[in-house]
Amino acid sequence: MVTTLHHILANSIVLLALKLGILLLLLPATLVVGYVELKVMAHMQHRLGPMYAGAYHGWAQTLADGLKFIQKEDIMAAATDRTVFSMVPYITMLGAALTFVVIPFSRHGVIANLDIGLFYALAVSSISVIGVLAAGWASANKYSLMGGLRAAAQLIAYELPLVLAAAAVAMQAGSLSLVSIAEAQRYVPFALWAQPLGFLIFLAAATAEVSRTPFDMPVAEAEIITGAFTEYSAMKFAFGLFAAEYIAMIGMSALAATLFLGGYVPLLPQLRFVPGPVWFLIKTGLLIFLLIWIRWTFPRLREDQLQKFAWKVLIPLSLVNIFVTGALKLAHWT
Amino acid sequence: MGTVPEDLTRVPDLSSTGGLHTEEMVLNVGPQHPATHGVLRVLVSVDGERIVRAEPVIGYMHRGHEKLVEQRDFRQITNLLSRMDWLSGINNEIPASLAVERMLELEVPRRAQYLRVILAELNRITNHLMFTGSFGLELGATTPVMYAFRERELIQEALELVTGGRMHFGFIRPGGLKEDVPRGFVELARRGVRQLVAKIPDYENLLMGNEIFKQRTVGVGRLDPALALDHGVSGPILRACGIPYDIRKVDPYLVYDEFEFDTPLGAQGDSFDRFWVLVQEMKESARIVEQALDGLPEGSHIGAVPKRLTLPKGQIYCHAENPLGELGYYLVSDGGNKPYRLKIRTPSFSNISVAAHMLRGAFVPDMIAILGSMFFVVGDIDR
Amino acid sequence: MATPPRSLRSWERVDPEEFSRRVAGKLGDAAASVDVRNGTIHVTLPAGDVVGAARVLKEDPELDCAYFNFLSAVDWEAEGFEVLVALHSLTYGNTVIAHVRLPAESPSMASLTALYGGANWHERECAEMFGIDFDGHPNLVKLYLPEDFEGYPLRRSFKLASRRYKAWPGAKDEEEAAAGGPLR
Repeated sequence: MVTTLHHILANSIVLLALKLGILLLLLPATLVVGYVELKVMAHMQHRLGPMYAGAYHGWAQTLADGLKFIQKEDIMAAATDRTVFSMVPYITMLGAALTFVVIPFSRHGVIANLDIGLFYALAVSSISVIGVLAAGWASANKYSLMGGLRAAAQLIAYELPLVLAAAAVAMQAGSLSLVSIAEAQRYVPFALWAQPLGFLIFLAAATAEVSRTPFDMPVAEAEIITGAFTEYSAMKFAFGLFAAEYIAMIGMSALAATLFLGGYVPLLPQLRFVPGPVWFLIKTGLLIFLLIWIRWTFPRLREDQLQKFAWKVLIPLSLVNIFVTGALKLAHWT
Repeated sequence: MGTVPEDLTRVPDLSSTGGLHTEEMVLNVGPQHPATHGVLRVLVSVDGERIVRAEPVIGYMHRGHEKLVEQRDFRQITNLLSRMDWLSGINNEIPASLAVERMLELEVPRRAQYLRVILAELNRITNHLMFTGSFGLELGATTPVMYAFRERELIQEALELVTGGRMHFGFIRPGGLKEDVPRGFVELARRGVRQLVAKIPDYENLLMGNEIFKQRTVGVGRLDPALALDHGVSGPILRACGIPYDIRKVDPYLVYDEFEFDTPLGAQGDSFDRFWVLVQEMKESARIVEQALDGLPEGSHIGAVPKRLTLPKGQIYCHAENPLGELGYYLVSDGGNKPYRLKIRTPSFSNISVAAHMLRGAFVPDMIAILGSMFFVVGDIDR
Repeated sequence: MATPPRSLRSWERVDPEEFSRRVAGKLGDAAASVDVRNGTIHVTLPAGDVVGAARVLKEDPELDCAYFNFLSAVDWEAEGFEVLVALHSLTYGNTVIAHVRLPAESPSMASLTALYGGANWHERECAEMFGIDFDGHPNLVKLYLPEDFEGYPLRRSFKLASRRYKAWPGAKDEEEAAAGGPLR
């Protein structure tokens, strides 16, 4: 057996520490993405955005926001179901963070290379909806209830196209392991060849999954005032809503990057010297930027319009996509 | 503030749900709610997300202007009236001065009349820009409001240069204006409207060209023209129904009959049309401002006005085209230096009184699209 | 959609004098007087049949006052109240203001809500501010004021309580200041 650096790492405690580190990096990552969102939004809107915190272009703005949230009073209304109410931030955070267990940062830089990695990722990413629904119910607030119900309705609408688009990728790659799927895209990402339609469907469904404009009806501030999280304050608000949203956004972008852009796999054979994690971060970052760009450009749809869009457009399209993928696969064209 | 109307507590009819028992929920929207920009409260009965009944509840900002003006003389009331619709102070002040001038048969110099038109139209633009931006915001599009405020700032600066204020101007006096405009105003105003006209296509593309925006607004909150007339709806909302009622045209005041401008008309009377009319009106206002700046005559900014303003006994109705619709003052004078009675007919009051009919049967998100396109200012509803 | 109103088609401003003659002709005995002041047509209606007269104004195709502008009142103290109903004819570009005199004691008139839906809020406001009763109004509860509010604020006799203790500092005239300022 050839001993390489990777194999040493794969069996050592060092790797365990690295793997834990990836999870621990998630919180700072949300701060970074939050800052990027503030800045991108500001520049799209002819503004400067944060400029003071941290002295240089407001780099510490999200950190300061987080610290402020820690100092705030944690308010719970009298009619609140306190146990469920307090559990919600854990559920939404956990659901979003668990996706990272199977996402490969490099060929071996994956916490657990499960054989059913894709299945697992899609399954755990839906856990946060339970948290949102619980928040909607436990808050004893009508707006929250509507937000929770909207989130549940939205789950039914986008989950199918999301899974169907991912299923076509699994068929294409012939595996459910995310590492194998990434490897199958060595030098030709699926988004460019074989699965461009699936990529678009997945992106639309993923936007709905993370509840961002134009599919942010569960949190629509102008209608139901942040929906399920109306009654949340202080750290519960910061973790239950902000951190969970950003982690989910990073997770979904990372998943999409792995499924359709090849994750850590370089785009060109000539660029192999650039390490895998860098490729992974570039691709994930691009998708995050895309989500931010969409968010600050579009108005939001109505819940029934999303349902119509999902059932009449996305699901038929993804079924066609699966059919075509299967046919091409049988004909050995791809 | 009143009480909950009877029909809001009625037991719902279950026949439409096929026997399936659904429960209605009374949702209290406002007085603190981002979509009611101000302290309007709407009591809505919802079945799921569909609105079964809705009733606007007003009065959270009732300041009793009609009572207060009975103790102020005719110059003082200007400052009070400018606080009703705080987005268009100049437009609030003009008809009050007109009423006094017409009763005293005062001569207003042409320069003052031109300047009034310019200020009123600039003020109309700032008001419309505010609603252009906030309507996008209510539908979830966060960026247009920033663009709108960028253009608004320049025009706001021009108004500030003249009046020293940004909201409550208190600049129109019976007989003319408080002061003449300072140097640099003409150039600044021209720059402001030119930049606006150059940027309006951006709003049109960003919002009206957007498929999602169309889905959210086309056919939503359609206002029946007969219902609109019944409720005295006016301004962009009435014109979106296709009714050409613009007081600047129908009953010209100041020197509006000397300028060339069109009255944009909608066809469907839905949220989209209301928004479309609003944006088109900015272009027309810009046209008027350009013409008035070109033809601005020399002369005095205020005519000969007696030091102590005492009106003859009598009554007069004076109305003008406020950015939001018809603003009318019914002035009753008993021969003193204060109004005996001043009935203030504000556009937002009449416009929002029809909202209950429009909200019935809509979805909760449509409520936002409808209220957002009713362009109201709470201070203008409550007075 | 119901039948499109006539006003939808187009408008032309009829000379107020001519329009007032038309109004006088159509209303006949229903109007006590019709005259034009400052381009506005003022009609005095007896309190008895306001709705009937308003119906003629609204439904006669040659008057077509389908636009309900506002309804309010003036308190003439001992001489009673004067209710104002402003209507507008979009087709002919004229405003008609009807004046209805009501007694100072328990003033009451028929509600216009059946004819003009928009009269609803105006009558509610008028009722709470002046204490005028509108017969046949579907829901004559307070519009602006809290339910338990006592008194009718827009009546001349209603004084602001705070002014009883502290005179209004903005008195302009010497006589006024000497008298301790106004009580409103």
